[in-house]
Amino acid sequence: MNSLISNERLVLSVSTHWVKYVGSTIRNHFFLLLGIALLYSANLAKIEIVSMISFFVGSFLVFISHHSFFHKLMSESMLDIFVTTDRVIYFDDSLFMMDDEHEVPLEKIASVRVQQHGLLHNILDYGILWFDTGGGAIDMMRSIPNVPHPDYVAEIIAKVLKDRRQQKNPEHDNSINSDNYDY
Amino acid sequence: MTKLKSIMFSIHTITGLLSVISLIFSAVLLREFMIVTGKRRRLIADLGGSGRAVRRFKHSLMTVYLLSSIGWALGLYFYSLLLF
Repeated sequence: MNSLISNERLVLSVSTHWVKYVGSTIRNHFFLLLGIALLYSANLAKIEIVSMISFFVGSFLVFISHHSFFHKLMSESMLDIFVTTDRVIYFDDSLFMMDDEHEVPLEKIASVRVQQHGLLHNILDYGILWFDTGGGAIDMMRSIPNVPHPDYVAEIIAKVLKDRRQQKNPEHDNSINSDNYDY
Repeated sequence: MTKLKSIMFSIHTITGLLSVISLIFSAVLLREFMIVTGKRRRLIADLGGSGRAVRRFKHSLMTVYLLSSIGWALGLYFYSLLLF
């Protein structure tokens, strides 16, 4: 691992905003309630075959919604945004489905942009963090969605970038140290 | 009567099987979760951070998932026994 060789230190680590759970929670709870209703109706049904079908469909819906809910919760519960003194790392993973790691070296970042469009983004204070690496157009490969308090995170990255530039300048002798940052 | 009994037997077998599959799925998912969180914690430790908060939350989530899976599997099986 690079961090073992270099002096790379962790500056900030956060998890993406909780809004990522909302869609799947609503969907899974809808199917869970439907499943429970079917299991209950299996008890009320007068005809045996209707009761059986109702029982199996209900069981299946409860099975799927229960595991799907926890799958989403466990996949997304980990810290997935890391800002270090050398790079920004973003993990986009889903257990058994996806294991993506996006890494943006700080030396390639010209500027950091924050996008908070819409009522929800502004009320709940989350947004997209986009790294300008000189490409021009906004590329989603160089962005992190659902960043909580994106202004604060952008500020931290800007501070690390500033310190790096000062370190490169021989007139300044400010070494990069993770103790300088409040995380 | 014999046919009805065999149908009832198969219902209980299928329900029991579904409960077992559910528990196996929970165990597999928990194992994968432990592997991924372990990797993430190692990364944090390599970078000089502390993974204490991650560990605490991880254990709570795993306990809730495991207990609810066992509860659901047993509940479903006994409900089928009660119903048919």
